Amino acid sequence: MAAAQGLSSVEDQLQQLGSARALVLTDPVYWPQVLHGILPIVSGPVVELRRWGADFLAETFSTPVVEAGEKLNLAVACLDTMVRLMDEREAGILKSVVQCSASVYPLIFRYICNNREDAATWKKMDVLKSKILSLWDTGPVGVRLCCIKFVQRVILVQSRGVTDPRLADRSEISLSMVPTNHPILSLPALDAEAQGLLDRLLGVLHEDPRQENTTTTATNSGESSRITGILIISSDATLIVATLNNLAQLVKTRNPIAAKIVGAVLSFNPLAIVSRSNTIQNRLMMQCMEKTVRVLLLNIVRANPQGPFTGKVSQHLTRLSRMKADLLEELSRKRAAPTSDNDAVKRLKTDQQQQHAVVTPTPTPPPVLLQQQIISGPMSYAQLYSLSTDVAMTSFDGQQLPLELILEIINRSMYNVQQHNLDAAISAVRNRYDTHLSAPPPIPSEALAQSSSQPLNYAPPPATTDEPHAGPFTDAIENRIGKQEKEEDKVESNDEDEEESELQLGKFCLPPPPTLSREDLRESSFDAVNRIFSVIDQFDKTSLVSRKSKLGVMRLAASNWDREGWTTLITRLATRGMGGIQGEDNKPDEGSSKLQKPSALSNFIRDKLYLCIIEDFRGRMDIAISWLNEEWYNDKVMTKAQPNRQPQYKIWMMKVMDGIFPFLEGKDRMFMRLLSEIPEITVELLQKVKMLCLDPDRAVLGIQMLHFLAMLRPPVRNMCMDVLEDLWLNHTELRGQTHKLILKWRPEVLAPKPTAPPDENAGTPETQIAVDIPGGSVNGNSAATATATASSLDNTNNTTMAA
Amino acid sequence: MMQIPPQPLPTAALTPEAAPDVQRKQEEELRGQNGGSGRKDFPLKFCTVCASNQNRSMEAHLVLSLSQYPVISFGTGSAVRLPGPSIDKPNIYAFNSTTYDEMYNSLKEKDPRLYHANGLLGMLDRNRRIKGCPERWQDWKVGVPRKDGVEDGVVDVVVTCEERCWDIVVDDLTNRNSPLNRLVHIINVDIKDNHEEALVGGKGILELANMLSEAAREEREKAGPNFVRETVDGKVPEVLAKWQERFPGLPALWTVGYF
Repeated sequence: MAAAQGLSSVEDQLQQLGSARALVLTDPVYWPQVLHGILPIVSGPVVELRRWGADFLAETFSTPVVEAGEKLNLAVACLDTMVRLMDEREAGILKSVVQCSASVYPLIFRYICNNREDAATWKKMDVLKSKILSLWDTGPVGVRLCCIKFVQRVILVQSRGVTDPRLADRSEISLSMVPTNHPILSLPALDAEAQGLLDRLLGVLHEDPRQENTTTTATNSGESSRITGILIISSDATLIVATLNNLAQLVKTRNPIAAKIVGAVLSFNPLAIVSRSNTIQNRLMMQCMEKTVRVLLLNIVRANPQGPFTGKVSQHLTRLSRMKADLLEELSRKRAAPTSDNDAVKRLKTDQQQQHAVVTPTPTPPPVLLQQQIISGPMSYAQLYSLSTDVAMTSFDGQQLPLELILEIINRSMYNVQQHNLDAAISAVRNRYDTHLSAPPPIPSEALAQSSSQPLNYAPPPATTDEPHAGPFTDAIENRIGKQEKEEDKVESNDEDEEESELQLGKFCLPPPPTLSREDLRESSFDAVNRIFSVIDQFDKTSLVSRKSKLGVMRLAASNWDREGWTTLITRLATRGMGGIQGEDNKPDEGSSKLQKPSALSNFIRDKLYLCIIEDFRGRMDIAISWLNEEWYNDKVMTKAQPNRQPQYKIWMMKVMDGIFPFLEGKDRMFMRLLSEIPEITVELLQKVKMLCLDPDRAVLGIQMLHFLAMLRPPVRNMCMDVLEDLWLNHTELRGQTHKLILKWRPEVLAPKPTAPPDENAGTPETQIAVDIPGGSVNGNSAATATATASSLDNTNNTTMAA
Repeated sequence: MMQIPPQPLPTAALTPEAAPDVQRKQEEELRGQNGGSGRKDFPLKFCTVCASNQNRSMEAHLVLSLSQYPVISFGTGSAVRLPGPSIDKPNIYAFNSTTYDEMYNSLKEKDPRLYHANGLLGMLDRNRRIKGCPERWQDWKVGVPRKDGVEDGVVDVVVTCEERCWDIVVDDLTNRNSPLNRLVHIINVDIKDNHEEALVGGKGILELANMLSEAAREEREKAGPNFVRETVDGKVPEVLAKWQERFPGLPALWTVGYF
């Protein structure tokens, strides 16, 4: 700010600048004005002010609150200052200026593309660029990190982006912006420069850092004294991770150079640092670099999963983690003791993963030795199978270990064991076994006595003796040849060649399961059925319409294990499933004269189905329909096979209807679907519908049902019309609704008018009114008072029937 | 300087904004006198990150701000998840909008005994005294001026409290394509997500901040033949390794990224 110049004290000036910055942070509108104000100060002699200015410049061009267009104007104005600041020796100032240049470079580039004559500006930018590039190798680490960012920006700007013009991002600044005949910008030169910079950028990944260090110290001889080996290596790691974190954008937006970059990353070995010197710092740096590589590669692959690098990258990452695990294991083995728990954990992990033969103890002594170990006399499985000469191993009780662990051990050792070792071990055991068989066995009782006196190899038999063999290792110790098995053999066969059988293991077959009692059987059947119902219950409560199968003609009864499939299963289980098993309980009691009743299980399922439907008949209408259809079909089929079987359809159909009818409401139009889709309609059912018609609240629904059935189910039309006729004749208050139907299908009822003229005269005016009112429900309400007594009577009738 | 204010900071900082221009300038000047240029020891600015911006990052936020470090904090999760009555019934809140205070009150209303016993109420009570509401890392507009301790909206060091968060932060910065071109160190300090470990981790992070700042101060005062007043950037691996030796229970990870 201009006012700041007047103040003498640096402290005061800094305070002034601080408040100016606070102002622009709260209100960015003032930013250009303030920046122009501080430019002279930044070039002044006071270093504190230059520091502040450099930071402010960097902040100006990175802040998102100042617009890009505004930034461009400011950038052109600031170039001189920036060039001057590049001569500073303070790392902090240089850092800011390089960061600032990285932001400014694309802006200036675009400006030059559009302003062909402004060679002076481009010249300044070029000077700035060359100063920065010279610092890239020689500057302090902080500055070099900023240089890396600057170089990335230059490469981005000076290389071609998406080749397809349709996919190109118009706001993006790239080589494609440069017109071919630009007087200042030469396309090939810019492109070549970018390629050169890219090679140099990737160089940090290729080079053996030690060599690079020597060159660095050579050019920077003054500093060489204070640079220690560790410092060099750590700065390498810093530069490497910074470089890596700059590559993703290049790969993703600059197609032509993507392959080269990915190739460099894939050939970079982040683990090499540890092999040079294994310090805690290097191990840490190795982890950091490895992790950075991983995040970078995953980021690249995720941006374009169908891209050309996906396969290579995933391969590389697998290999990298394996190499890392190997390395960590090797390191931990080199050290006498792990230095931290962290390493110990890792080592354990890698040991498990890698399974080196040295780590896993595999009992493979030479066979010659094994032969000598053969014990004469009774021998436990443990003795038979143990090949180890180690006393500790042979006396170890495998049962102490959890089963999972043992399985794990077996699995892993099976993968690792050498084929010839395994063969040798098997043949050793076989030899032992053969010799044992051929050797004369001692008297069994003695053997028993001996066995109990052998403390080492004998473990008490487990509580459950009929436990199946889990594996050679687990039961190796507890089972003894010539004890249990021999006894079993004796009991079962009692052969003449007892000596032989004593040693044979015999054919093992599982004992047959205990026969279930009828009650148990029934119990478990009921359980099974209950489970199926719970499964049906768990499926989504979708609407009836959306439940329709999409398989079309290809649909089978239970194509999927969805709600429909289970429903089919359970309904068929109730009807046909138990077809062969007719009620055994009932047979002797009832005798053959009476009709055969279904089995208890069938009826149990039917009861469950019934309850299930009643519970929510609106949502489970489909179950009711498919069940009743199955019942009806089964009845038809069974009448031929078993003529004296009691048909079930009518019983259950009526039971279901009895359950539903009391709860029907006037709006339950979906119920008509149930009526129209059940296979057989009986007179009794229609009588129930008639009762419905007499309830003023639900009369409309009842009449609609009759109408519907008469219209679309011709076989029951007559039955429906009988009901309607009855209504017409005996319930005059309903005539308004029944008139049309009677007229349509049974006009003869209307014809003999003279037979009952007083009735008719009383009815007609009422009908006229009723027909005129649309909707009909109003009509039902108006009739409510008239038939209140009748309806309540009907309701009580219904409920008693249902109960 | 940042201190634990009795009220959430945003409301406290709102007053100058309401004033008209000229008056504001004066007020900003005053503020500049108090804070802006007063940082003689050039403290690094920190940002702590965990999954829900509740436990680990907030504990670290607290200890760092108590030690006068400019600090902000974020969470990387999709939403703020706090333990509920059972493992499958977490309490879920939105980032950036639901304040700690609202969460505190809602949990207190739901089951004061349970949430007092499991420490959630205590934690939320602490958090609502530190800042307004949990913020999501992915929604952070880096570089946009803020009203709290980090006025310019950028930090020097991001400390994550879980490797997954570190991955997300590094990946997110990569995807943002570094519009600011500004250097940032991203350090992970692996802390288990419970109160006790958060306390231990907070201490570790504070020590790391102290060590980094100390190294920064040393570097700044260094006078080399070619360059003077260097920065801490080249020293981070060394400092981190030293720190790791002192805190072997908090595995560290680090990379250099750009905002």
